Amino acid sequence: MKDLQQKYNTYKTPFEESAFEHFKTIQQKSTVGQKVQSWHIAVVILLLSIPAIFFIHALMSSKDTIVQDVAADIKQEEKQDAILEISDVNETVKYDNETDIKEVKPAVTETILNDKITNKNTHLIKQQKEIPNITPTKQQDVISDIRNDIIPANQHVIIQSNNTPSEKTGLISYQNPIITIQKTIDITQPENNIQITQKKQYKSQSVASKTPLLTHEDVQDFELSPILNPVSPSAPNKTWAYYRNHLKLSYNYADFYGNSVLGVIPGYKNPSYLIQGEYFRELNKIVSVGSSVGYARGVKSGAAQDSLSNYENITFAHLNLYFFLVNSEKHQLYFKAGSGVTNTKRQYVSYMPPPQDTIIQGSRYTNLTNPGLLLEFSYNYHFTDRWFIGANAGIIAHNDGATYGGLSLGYSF
Amino acid sequence: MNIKKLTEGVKKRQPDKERQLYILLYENLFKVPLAYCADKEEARGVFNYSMVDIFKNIIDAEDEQSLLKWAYRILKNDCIDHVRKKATYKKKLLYVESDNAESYTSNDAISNLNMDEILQCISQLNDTHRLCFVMYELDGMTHKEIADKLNIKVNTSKWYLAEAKKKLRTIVLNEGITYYPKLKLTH
Repeated sequence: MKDLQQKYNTYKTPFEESAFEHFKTIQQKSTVGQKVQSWHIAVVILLLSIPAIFFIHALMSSKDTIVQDVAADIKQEEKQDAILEISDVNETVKYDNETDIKEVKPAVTETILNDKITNKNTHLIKQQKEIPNITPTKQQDVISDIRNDIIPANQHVIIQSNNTPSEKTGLISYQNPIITIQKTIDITQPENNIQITQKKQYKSQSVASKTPLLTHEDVQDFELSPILNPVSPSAPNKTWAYYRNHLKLSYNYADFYGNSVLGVIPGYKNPSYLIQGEYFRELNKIVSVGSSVGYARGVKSGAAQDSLSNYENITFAHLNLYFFLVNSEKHQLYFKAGSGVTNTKRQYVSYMPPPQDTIIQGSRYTNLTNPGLLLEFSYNYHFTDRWFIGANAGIIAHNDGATYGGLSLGYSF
Repeated sequence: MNIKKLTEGVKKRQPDKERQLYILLYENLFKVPLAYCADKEEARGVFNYSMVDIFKNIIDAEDEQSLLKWAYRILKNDCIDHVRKKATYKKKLLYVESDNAESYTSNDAISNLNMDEILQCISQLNDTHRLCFVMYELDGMTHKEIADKLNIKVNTSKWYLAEAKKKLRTIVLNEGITYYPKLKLTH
C-alpha cells in the first residue's frame, strides 16, 4: 500500500495547453456569473427604492399639507371673524348715512379685512397675555376693554361664559366663550321704520382656546402650537380611492429543478431569475381575473463537467385567476393560479449509463412549446392608493419546473 | 520559483503569473481528479472548477509545498464531493454489511504497474468503488474517515474497497488495460 502511495505522491502530470484554455473559459464565465449576481442585487435595490422614494415624498408632502392646512384654517377663521364685523359696520354705514352699500362695502371690507388679518394674531396674543393676570374681580374690566376694542359703538356685546375661576389658581378658563353681538339700529332713520336687531352668535375656536387653562407659557407658544401639532383639527379627511385594475411587475430569484432533463448532474441547482408582468382586475373582493407574461432564465452553474454554458430559457403567457385571502384598503394577500403557453429553450446534458458510466457534455438545442402552470402566493402593500409593493413566491411548471420568490411593484388604476 | 511573487501576481490577475501557477498546480495535482474521476475530461472539469476557486482565494504561501498542500486539500474535497453526488444520484451507494470484507485486500495485481496504468485501471471502476479505493489506497485515509466523509458505515467502506480490488485484479489479469472510447461532444 505504501508503495502505491509513494508512486502516487511522486507522480506528475505533463501540462496540456488545452486544459489551461478550458480553465480560462471557466474563469471568464465565473466573472460573468458575478456580474449577473450584481445585476440581481441592483434590480432588487431598484424595486425597493422606488416605493421608498414615493413614501418619503408622500411623507414630506403630508407635512407641508398639515402646515398649509393649519395656516389656511387660521386665515379662514380670521377672515370669517373679520367679515362678521365688517358686515356689521357696513350695515351701520348703510343705515346711518343712507349711502349705497355696493359702493361702500368693497372699500371698507378691503381695508378692514387686511387690517384684521395682519394684526389680529398680535391683537389676540396681546389680549391673552393679559388673561393669566386676571383675577375674578377684574373680569368685568377686561371684558369691557375687549368690547371697546373689537365692537363698534352702536353694538352691544353680551359675553356668556360658563367658565368659572379655578378655585386653586384663581385663573379663568377660556374654553369656548360664547359672544353675542347685539346691534341696534336707530329707528328714527326715514328708511328704517322698524328696529332691527340682529344677533350673531359664534364660538371662538382658536387653537389656543383648546387649552383648558391658559398660562403665560401657553400664550407664548400660541403661534407655534398649530405647526407643532401634527394633526390639523380641521384638516379634511383624506379619502383612499379604490381601483379595480392593477398592473404589476415582479422580479424573482428562481431555482430550476436540477434533476430532470437539464440537470442530470446531481446536486447542482441552477440559480436564475424570473421576470413577470401582469394585469388583473378585481371582479369583487374575493376573485380577480388577469393575464401575465413572463421570462425566466436558468443559468446552469457549478457543474464541474460543463465546458459549455448550459441554460434553460422559459417564455410564458398565462391567464390567471386570483383568490384573495385578504383584500383591504392597504393590504392584499392572494393565491394566483395561471395556465397558458410556455416555450422552453434549453441545452442538454446527458448521462450515459454503464459501461460508459459518464456524462456527455453537450449543447443539443431544443425548442419546446407546452402548456404550463403557475401557482403563486402574493402579498401587496399599498403605500399610496395607486402604488403598491409586493412579495411573491410560487412555482412554475411546464415539462420542467422552477420555484421562485421575489419582489414586485404595482400600479392601480 | 518565487511563490510569494507568483501568488501576488495571481491576486492582481496577471496572465503570465496565472499561467505559471496553473502549470505548477496541474503538474503536481492533476493526478487527484484523474484518480477520482471516470475519465480525463471529467477530471479536467473538476480540476478547472477547483482552480477557479483556488485562484480566487489564493493564499500568501511561504513556499511551494505549503501552497500545494493547501490546493491539494481543496481539490481532493471537490473531487470527493463531485463523485459522491454523482454516485448518490445514480443510487449506487449500497449499504452492505460484510464480516469478511477484509478478505480482498491484496494489491498484488496492480503493484507492478506504473502510475499511468494504475490510473487507467482505476478509471474503469464504477464511481463508488473508485472513490473508496482512491481514498483508502492513494490518499491514505482510514475506513473510519471514509465512512464519515461518505456518510456510510465502516464495513460498507471495507466492502467497497474489497470489491474495487477484486475488479481491478480482474481487469489487470484477465481483460488487460483497456480504454473506453472517448466520448465526443454531441451537437
